[in-house]
Amino acid sequence: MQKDFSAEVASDAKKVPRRIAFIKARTAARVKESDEEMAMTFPSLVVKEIIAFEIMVIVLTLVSLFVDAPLEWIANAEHTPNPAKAPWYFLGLQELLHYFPPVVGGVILPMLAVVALVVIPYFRVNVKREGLWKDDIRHTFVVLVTVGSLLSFILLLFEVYVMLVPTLVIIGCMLIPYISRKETGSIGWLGSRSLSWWIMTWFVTIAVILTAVGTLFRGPEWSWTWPWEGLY
Amino acid sequence: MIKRMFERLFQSQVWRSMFRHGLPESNRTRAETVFYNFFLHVHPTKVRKRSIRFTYTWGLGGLSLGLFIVLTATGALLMLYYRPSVPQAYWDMKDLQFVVSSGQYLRNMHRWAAHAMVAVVFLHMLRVFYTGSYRSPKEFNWVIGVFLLVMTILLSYTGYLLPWDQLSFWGISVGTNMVRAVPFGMGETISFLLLGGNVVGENALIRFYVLHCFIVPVAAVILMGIHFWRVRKDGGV
Amino acid sequence: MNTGRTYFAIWSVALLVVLAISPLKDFFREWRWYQYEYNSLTSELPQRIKPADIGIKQIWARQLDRVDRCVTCHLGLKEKALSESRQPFRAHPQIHHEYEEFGCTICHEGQGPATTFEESVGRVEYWDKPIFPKDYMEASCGRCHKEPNVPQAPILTMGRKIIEESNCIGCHKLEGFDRQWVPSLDGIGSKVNRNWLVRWLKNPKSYFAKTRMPNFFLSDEEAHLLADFLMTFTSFPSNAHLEPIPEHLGAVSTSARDKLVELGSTRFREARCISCHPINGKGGYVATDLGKVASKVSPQWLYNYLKSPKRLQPGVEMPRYRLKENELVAVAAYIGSEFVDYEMEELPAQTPDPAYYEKGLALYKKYNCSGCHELGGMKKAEEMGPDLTTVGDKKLYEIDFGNVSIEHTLPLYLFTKLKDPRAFLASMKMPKYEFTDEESRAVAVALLGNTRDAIPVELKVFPKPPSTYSPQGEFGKLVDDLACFGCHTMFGRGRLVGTDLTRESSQAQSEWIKTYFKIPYSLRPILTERMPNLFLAESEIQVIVDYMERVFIVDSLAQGIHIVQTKVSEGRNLFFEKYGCQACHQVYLKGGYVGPALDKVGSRLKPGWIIHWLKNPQALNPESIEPNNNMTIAEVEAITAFLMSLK
Repeated sequence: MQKDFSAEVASDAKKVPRRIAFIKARTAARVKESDEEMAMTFPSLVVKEIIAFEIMVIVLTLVSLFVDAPLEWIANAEHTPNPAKAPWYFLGLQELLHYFPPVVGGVILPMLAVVALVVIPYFRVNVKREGLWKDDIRHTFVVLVTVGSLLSFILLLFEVYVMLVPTLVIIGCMLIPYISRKETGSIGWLGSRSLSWWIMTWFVTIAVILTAVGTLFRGPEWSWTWPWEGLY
Repeated sequence: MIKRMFERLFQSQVWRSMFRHGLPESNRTRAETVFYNFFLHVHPTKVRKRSIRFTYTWGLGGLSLGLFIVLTATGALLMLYYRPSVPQAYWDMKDLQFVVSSGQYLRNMHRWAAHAMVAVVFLHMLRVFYTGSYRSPKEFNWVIGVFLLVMTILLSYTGYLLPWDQLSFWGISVGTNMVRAVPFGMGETISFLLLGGNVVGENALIRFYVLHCFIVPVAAVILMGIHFWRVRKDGGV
Repeated sequence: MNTGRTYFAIWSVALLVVLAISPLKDFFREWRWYQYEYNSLTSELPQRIKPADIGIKQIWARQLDRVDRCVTCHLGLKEKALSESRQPFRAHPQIHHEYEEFGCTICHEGQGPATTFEESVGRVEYWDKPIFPKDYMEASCGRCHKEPNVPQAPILTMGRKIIEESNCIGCHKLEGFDRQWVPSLDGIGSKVNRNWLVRWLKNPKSYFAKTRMPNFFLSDEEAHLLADFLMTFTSFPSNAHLEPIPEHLGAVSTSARDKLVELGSTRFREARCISCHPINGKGGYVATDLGKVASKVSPQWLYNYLKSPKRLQPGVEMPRYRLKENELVAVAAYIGSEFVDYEMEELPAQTPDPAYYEKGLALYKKYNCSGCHELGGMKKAEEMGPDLTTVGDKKLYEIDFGNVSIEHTLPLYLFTKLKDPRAFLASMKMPKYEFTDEESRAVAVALLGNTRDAIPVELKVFPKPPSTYSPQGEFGKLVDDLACFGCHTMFGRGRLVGTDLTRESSQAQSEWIKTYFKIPYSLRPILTERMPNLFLAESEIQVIVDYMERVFIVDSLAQGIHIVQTKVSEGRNLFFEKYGCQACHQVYLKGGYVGPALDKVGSRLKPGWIIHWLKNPQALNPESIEPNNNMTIAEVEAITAFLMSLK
């Protein structure tokens, strides 16, 4: 891009108001020069919103009619159930606690996750849109393998196989475009994924797997229990 | 006949004082419908077709708000039957189940909507990430969004204790024990502040009740206001 | 745009429909049908019964802080016309409490707040107090009635008695039970033979079927170790030792020996040993079986024990018979020759484990033997087993049912545990008491009443404080030496094998009591437990009678007595003709056996007693079955005059 600024131009000025955007740096979001079709908020959007809300309430109602909210025995401080589980969205954390010391699993890792989420928009790596292998391929490969090995080693050290396996799979996927170098198809699609995309995908996969394991696969003494052996 | 009656109604001074425009039949009145309506005025009168495509947003932000509304409504009704004390809290659950009209339905709705909201808000965050919608100038709105996710989890977590059954008691005990792991004695302090004591008891129940029904929802509403306002200002719906 | 409107319309209608389901579901709850059914049922009956107002009904037991909604469907609880009706409308049988005050679940258990059948019965996953089975209902009585004897709840009373007698508090914490007297094991090495001890430890009931000692299921090795350990304790409490049998009394020749045994046999009968001791299961129940005792203890111990039971076994309720030296030797010789277990085989000789003492001590501690027995001043282990003071509150999720296939309820758990203490886990330490089904159920009932639920103290009934009666002086010494409390009650203290002596001297004449001590005969010959002949000295009897005349007397029973000799024949007529007393009582060697014989009643009873008795037998003995004939004073006096003439 050579121009310092670009203007949004529409063919029908009555439909689309003119907007001017100033672009100061190359890394900023691109402004497409496009003639975007517009719609009246009412009814196009409002009706959709209402219908979506209605469907949501209907689904919730049907679920509520057939599945009762759990209510166990009255609280008894003298009897700890085995296993004692937190609500499901914390079971990923509880699963982490099973592997790592409490300070790491219960404090540092979740704090890191929240901080990492908060700062996402402020890091260049996240704003970049280029694929992972766009720049210096050799350098990227060395860094990726080093970081990947280090991570796998730590996970192996703590015997966190539920995290190790997805980590290896994702690193494998990241390496596919390096090996194959095809520009089209699914490999091409993989190749065009940015680093931030990969990190987020890794984080989400791990979070989902840990939560699922904690919810469905953990029984008394936090031992591995298949869902058909009983849900705890 | 009926049509004429409606026409007279819509032109009456009372109606006009409430809705300052006619039926939304022309683009002008449609724009006015949005423009003059308190509930709709967060929306622009016109939106890009691209940004209201369902498969772009999956309606997740809107659904989050929808769930919040459902939760507020059912929650307010549940508050009528609930006493945050030991052991009455548990017996109130039983009364909801056995004697309150549609009490079990209300509780079920509240429970399942709460679980759904945690999931939907998380999915909304993923959607925003994968469509790259956190980029400038919406960086800060992303940050607010992350805090809204934290608020959602806090709401769900504080509500988890209120039925005062084994599930809630030990769920909260496990959770607050995690907090204790925070080093330099801060964990103990935070946990003590949260529970109003060293163990989950009546003090914890009343604290969680106030957090659940007042403090966190108010904070969430304020953050939501900012969140929506910024979406609009940054050129969204 | 039109499609948008159509969708909007469709979904809006769908929403309204779906939202209507829950209120509808609410309207068609099962209790409503029961109420309609009740109203149609009662309208068909000839009696007028008030129809039920449709709606949920509840009892709020204010004092107990409970809400029971059972009455929503159980609508006919108070309607006598519905006593045969089908459930849930049947009338409640007569009970001692007002259910409107206490609600239903305080007795029946189940889930009071519930309004559906399933949930209110409480056999649902997250309710741990399902409705009590009928057999266990009396457990609820025990929640408030803490006194040992609850006449309206015989099963509960039986259970509490078993708990007390089995000395459960030796291992468990329980409230309201007294520690039972159990033989001290000090000196056991000088008392029993090892052969017997090993067998006893393996299975006490094989020696004495009614022993209170349970079966610990010791292995052969454990039984031998424990026996070796116990046999080392040869000195009795307070460092007492066995005295040798006087040599000059030891019989040498066979004929002398036969004579000795014969004398022993006579004294054994006269002393009525079998009033307390059964012989191979026949006889009394107060003391141990003597059928095979010669294979258990040595003659020397027997001689010493008979001479002074409390010297070897402090606290034992065996009277010290006033036997002479030669009689003591004779009785010991008789027992030694008569009560032998010929089937008992000698155990093969074994070299004891060199560490038998330590190992035996460890076993002694493991099974908490000191919970019941004293040995070498060892401290009683405090509550080895679980605390049972609140066992009725035990949550189902706290119970490990193991692999036993019973319904998971607390009553059944306790029942099974009592029947077979190691059913749930073989490594449990609780011994087996060989309770019958009925006994196990009774004990379970008594235990289930141990709850800590918020019942106000003023609703509970506590046991009377134990009697502090303790006679002093010469009489006191005799009472202790003769173990009178073992059979008689005096001022609320003691057992009731014999009679309550509290008012004895208002009832019996002193002269009669004196002769009774010399030749105790029974008024009711069919009874096994008869007063033994203690061979008391004249002076001792005088001490007893003097004390009784002063203390065991109620003045009011001796007041306002007018006996007119002329009325004897009138009394005779009333006795035989009007009231037909001979149907139950013997007079002139004729008559029934239900009541005591009245042949010589004139020299036995005091006239005041007879008068008050005839006026109202139950006033003097609430358990008497003699009918209250509402006699006039004149009739009472006439019959008394007649009876006093029978000397």
